[in-house]
Amino acid sequence: MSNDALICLENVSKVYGSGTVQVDAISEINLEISSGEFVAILGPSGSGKSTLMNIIGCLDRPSEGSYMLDGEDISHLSDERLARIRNKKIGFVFQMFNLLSKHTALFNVQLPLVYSGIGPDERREKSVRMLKKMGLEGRMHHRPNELSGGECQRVAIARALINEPSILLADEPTGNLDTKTGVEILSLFKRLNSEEGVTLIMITHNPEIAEEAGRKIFIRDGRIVEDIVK
Amino acid sequence: MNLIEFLRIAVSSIMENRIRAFLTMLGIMIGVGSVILLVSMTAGFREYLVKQFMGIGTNLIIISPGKTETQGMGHPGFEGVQKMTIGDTDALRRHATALESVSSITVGTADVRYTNRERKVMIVGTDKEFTEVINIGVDTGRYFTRDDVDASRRVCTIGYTVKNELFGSRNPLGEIIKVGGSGFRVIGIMEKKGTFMGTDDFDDVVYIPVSSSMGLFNTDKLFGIRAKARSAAMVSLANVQIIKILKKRHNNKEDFTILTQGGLLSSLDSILDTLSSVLAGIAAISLLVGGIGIMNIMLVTVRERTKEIGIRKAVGATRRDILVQFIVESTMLSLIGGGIGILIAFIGGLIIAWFIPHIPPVVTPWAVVLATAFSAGVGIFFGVYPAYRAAQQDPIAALRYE
Repeated sequence: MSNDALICLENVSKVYGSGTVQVDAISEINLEISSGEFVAILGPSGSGKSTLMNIIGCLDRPSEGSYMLDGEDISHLSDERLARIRNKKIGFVFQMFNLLSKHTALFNVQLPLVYSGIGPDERREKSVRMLKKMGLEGRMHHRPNELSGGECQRVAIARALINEPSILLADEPTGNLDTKTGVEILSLFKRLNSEEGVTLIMITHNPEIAEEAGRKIFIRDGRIVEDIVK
Repeated sequence: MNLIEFLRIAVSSIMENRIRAFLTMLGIMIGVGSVILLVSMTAGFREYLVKQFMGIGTNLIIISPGKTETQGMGHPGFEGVQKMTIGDTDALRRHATALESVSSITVGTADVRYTNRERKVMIVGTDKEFTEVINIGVDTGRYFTRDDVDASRRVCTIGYTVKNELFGSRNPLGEIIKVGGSGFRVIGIMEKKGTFMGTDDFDDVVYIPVSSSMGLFNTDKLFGIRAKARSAAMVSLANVQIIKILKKRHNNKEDFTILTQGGLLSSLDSILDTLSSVLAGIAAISLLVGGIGIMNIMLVTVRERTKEIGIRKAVGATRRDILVQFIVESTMLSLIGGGIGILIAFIGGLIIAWFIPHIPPVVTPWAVVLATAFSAGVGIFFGVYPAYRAAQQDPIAALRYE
């Protein structure tokens, strides 16, 4: 295995529960993802793809094995350090958008910058720029319930990208959108990947969407069963 | 993240739930308000009492026959108690250098009659020095002189109430009134003094020379001696001199009691301090209840905002960030409540001052400072547990929470 990979998982397992009731969510995963890749992770529900994503996204730690992110071993880092890494290096896009419902689009996009310790003026300026880039100039002061699903997801993408992360992790990002909007969001992702070189890891169970990715990884029962590079 | 960011989050969170925030603060508001108000009322009451005490006279020393303090030896009985006489007064006048003036007092009641009007009043027998020791003087006419006392003249001065009751609008000066059957000529009307602590009416009194009163009541025993020290600093020296002089005249027995204004004030203070602490303590219970209310609401808030916590953690909030966020919010709630409570206390104080004008509450700064500090403390103390619960939340579960 080369050391210049952005993500490098070695024999990673995750066991939930303790004592006699133990569930292996994922076992002995070996995976390398390089910078700039667009990877789709496919698998039926309960196959462990969400667990894998949580580990890659530093929301969870592997029970066994090692995880190198950007050359740093993060398998044994403290919660505080993991939070810093999530803030700086990872952007999340969720199926349910997960925006703060009581705040405006602009505030939501600023949120990661708040935790980076960036001042209000710079935060605002950056966020406005990002929202414009997402085609949301006119929607900045709207709250999520005043926005369409596609707009919400674009706000979420803006939030994910605001800190210029190394990886964009998307969990069924089109799962909650109609087909047309889903296509739009997907092409936005593709553009970000091809034009701006954003490393994109997308979880989906939709084979058509997975076709757009440069690499497809199939997971079943917590193990990688297929890894196809186009 | 700096404090300003946390304050910003807390403000927006409180503003989103105004009614809930108000209800949460209510306990603290009432608690802080009542602590300050009760402490202020006791302070106001103290000031009123001090004014009353000081109004009687300055550097006043009260000497009464009989020993009321026993210091654990049991009641000494009255066998050894010698009566207090004018001779004691004279001795003090002559030998107690720390005293400015000394006055004898006898007290009795008698029927006082003028033409067909009759009234039972207090008869105070005293001397010329009385007006020097006690803050009282004549309004019209004159007070009795040393000659009047020495010659046991049947003259009197009357209080304002007595004048009104017996003479109405007529001029009493020079008139003869019957005091317990003997005729006394009215030579003066005392200034209006009002009541002392709402009990004794200083205006319902007839003053006669102490020598005449001894004839009237057929006794040579004094009710007591009132003296005035030369200065506040000389009160304790005066005390020592009085004990020495009187003991010598009383077969070396300390069969009398000396009370000073300062001594009375300090025992009054210790009573009021206890009263104040008890009242404040009772009011503090509502602060405690208010704190529990805050904890309760914060726990609900944390549960309600599970998703928000998950999102914040996903985008990079540390446990500490979440912990501080919720503690700041509960502290802010508590402080705002405390601030409103202080306001309530001030307004309540004004209302009370309007209803009871002679005993206005005095808002003491330390009560305000203490109540503010206490309410901040309540917010922090009762905010820690909910904030800890929030900080401990697993981001994955929190994100999935609906």
